Amino acid sequence: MTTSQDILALSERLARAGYIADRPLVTTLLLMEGLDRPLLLEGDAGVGKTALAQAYAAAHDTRVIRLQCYEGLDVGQAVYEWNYAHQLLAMKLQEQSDRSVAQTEAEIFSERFLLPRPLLKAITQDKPPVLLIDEIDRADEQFEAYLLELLSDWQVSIPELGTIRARSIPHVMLTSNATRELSDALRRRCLYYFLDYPGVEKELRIVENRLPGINAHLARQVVKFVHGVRALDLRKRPGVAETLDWAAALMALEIPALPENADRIIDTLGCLMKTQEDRQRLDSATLRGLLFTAAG
Amino acid sequence: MRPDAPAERIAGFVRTLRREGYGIGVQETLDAVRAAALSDPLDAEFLRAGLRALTCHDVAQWHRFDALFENYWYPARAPLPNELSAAETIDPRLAARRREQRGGLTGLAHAMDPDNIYSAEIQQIGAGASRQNTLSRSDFRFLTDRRDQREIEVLAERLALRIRRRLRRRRREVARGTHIHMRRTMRRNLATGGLPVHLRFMERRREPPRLVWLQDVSHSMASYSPLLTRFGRGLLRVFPDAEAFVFHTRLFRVTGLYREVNADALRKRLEARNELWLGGTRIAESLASFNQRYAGRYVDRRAIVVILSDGMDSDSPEDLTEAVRVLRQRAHRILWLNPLLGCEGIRVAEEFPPALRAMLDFIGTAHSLDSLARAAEYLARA
Repeated sequence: MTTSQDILALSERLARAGYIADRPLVTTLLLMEGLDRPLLLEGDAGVGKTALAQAYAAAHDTRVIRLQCYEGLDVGQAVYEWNYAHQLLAMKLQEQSDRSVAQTEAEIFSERFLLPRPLLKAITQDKPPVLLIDEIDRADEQFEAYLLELLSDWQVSIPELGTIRARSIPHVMLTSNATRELSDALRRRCLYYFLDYPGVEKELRIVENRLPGINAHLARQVVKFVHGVRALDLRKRPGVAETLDWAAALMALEIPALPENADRIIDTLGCLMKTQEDRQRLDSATLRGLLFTAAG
Repeated sequence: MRPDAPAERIAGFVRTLRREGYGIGVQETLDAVRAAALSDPLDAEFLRAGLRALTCHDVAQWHRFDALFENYWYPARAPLPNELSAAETIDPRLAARRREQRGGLTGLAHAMDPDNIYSAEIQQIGAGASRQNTLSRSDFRFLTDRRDQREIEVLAERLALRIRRRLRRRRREVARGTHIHMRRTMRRNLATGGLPVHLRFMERRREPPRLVWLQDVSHSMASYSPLLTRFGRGLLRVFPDAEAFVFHTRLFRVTGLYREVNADALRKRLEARNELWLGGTRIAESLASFNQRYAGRYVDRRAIVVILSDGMDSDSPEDLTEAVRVLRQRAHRILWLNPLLGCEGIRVAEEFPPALRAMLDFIGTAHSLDSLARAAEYLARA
């Protein structure tokens, strides 16, 4: 049975790994372990989806195996590939030997010449790793279907070698930025968690946790300013990653507080706003308003 | 095995969610019961987080979940989920009875017959499949339920994305070619010690056509715009060099908007652009303007131009024919999709003058998902 102590313990382990998670998220992570289901994380870019996988792995003292998805990703890049160059070399070396063709074939299509890619690597570890399948929405639907099969059978079939069964079942986390609609089958196979932008207090804790040297006054102003920016109609709202980048930039420039340094701050806003359209949206009147709110 | 009482309450909650459009299967229901068993019985927040993770499959469901959870497990403290029916407005006792029937977190008085619990689950899933068949044939104009509309829009986009499979199909082995099939070559030349005497080749990758999407967004097309926009967005994601334009009395290039990665953000950005949605229709002038400003850059011999319009034009038919003739000289294929062709009694001959018809490679309707599927099939082969 999962108790409040388990939730608290995992929360603390995540915090030590630099990730501040609230109770529903920790509960979902515990369920992921309890029900052996993958976890599908959705949310805007920069809210901490990938960071969660890394922190979760650190909390369990295991490694993250990451598969970055993109259009055209296939089995050769995701599961395994043969090392053709080594195979050719091996065949040349065996040319003079009296081995039969069948023996040579068995030799060059053995595990020695197999290049495991992230999915195969993830199921052949002795200690269950965290398998992070990043931006699954960028992969094709065929790959998604293949993934579904792997996530239920935990085995990979290689025609020349046979079936490789999982040595341990990895903790699977999938992330999506809603670039395309994922199939119902995949969504239903997974637990779902929507990571939203954190509230002011939570984001403040994140900033203080990740940038321990930051002046508390500046940290609060930064977080309040970023919350004001997020409320604007922007093409790309700044995520937590951008808040951390900006706070680090302000620290490097030795800016002690926001309102008194408006001119210098303008030059650093590239850390928060990544398109020209958004940059123009923040005119001087809006900037003054945001600085005023941040100071309050 | 007879499910115990909490299991019945959870199954009841799952049914409530299904009525609200959540797609929850038997396995999720069973896992929800397992999740509840994992938790401390008094820890309602664990149950809430667990059920939410198991039953929500997208962000819209995620945001609605809390209200539904409160309504089901804490009826006394939650507001009624939907508007009161006319009868309930007249007689408040009916609303009170509805509230009472929903039970509480530990209330088990109205649990369903446990023997039917699993068969009921399966029946509901069957009903979902037949509903989707009906939806795919429905004229989008007559879908008034917002949930049905959203579902069709999502399906339209998925339909467009399916073309990608054709465009990116795995390359087959061929006898002659320029790209060596390493795996096959390796196996074929085992007998020669790896010396590649017999080469095996892969077929050439087919150059995908360039798509030009010209969508009429005038008042007369307003009912179909959400469906066609999502279909168009899907196509833009499939065809790498695609360009999208919308028109009513003026023409706008909207490629950037249609390439917006997030569907909800696209909806908001389109809603904010008022100038896109106002006006009558001047198809001929809009097409002439396209020919003048954009055709040179975007329409070449591998371009497929898709025009979506009901043809209700205030310009003359001769001007329209002339504009299409100019386009015809540049493009590989021209498709015209007209949602009105799905209406009874409206025929191609009435909608398109013979001179115009002769220049179009495909004329189809675009009023429902099925009709879009036919257009998608043509696009995949073109």
